[in-house]
Amino acid sequence: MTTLAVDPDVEAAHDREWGRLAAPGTWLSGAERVAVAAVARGGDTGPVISEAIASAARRIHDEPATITAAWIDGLEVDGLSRLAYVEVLGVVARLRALDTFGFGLGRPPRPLPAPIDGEPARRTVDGARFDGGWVPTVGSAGPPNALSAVQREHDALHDLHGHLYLEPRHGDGNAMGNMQVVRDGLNRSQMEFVAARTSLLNDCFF
Amino acid sequence: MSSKVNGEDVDLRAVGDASVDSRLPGGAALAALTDAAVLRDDEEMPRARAAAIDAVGAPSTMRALAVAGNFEMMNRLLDAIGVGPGPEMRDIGDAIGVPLPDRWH
Repeated sequence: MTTLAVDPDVEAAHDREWGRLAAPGTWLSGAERVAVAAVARGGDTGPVISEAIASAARRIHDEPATITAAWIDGLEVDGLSRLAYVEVLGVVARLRALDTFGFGLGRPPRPLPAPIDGEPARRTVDGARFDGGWVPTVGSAGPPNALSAVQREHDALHDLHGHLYLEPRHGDGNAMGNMQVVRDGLNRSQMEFVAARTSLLNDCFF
Repeated sequence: MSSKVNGEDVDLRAVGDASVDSRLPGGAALAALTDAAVLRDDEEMPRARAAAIDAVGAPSTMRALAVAGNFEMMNRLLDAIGVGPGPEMRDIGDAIGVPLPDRWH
């Protein structure tokens, strides 16, 4: 099998994500975050997380196109707050990104990290409110601010997005506003073709 | 339906129909690579990866997998917070042979 060399910046982003995964988050402990990842990968819930959190992790990972507002309402009734749901979403979505990347490279799944002890920060974000989406966002709900009600999740999303694909900004370099960008020989049209094909396979039509 | 991007005449119908030539360099290989990675096809993945390396080179294959991973993430974020396509996307979806499902009408 041909081994593909990986951009060192992507490897470093992967390492940072594993560090974030293990550490206490904003609404979940490190142990809960790692359990969310384990369940998303198809493992057992164990005693660490509630069935509501496990259900969210599985469905976000396996069937995101079937998610409805009523289902998220039900999770809240079962004890998963909207902000904790945002954190679960961030953890699972980034896990899926890196697992797909690794699978494509021919790597076995990276073992999940050992959780780090500590309490969640339980920090809210000023200005986050319901604005066109099923979760609070800072500004109208859309791709750049999907996780903006939980600052650490928002920051983690942008870290990974910029290293796997492009940074969500105008200007030159590896920026979404740069239609002439070529990254590792892949031009923008080829990138968007891969993106569109991925979205079609996921039944995502944004 | 085609689109002129960066001087390339791209046939967008290839997004949803593998029999259509996208006219992108390595387009068919990139589509097969994406399919194998996103669908976690153990059998097809080595072949698709090798074909993509032949078609666009190793660095571009690595980047294409990174882009696919990124959109695995973004698709989940948007579907899980209820953000879908705007009305303007309906005609585009029909034109490229990927009509929007009922939930977005």
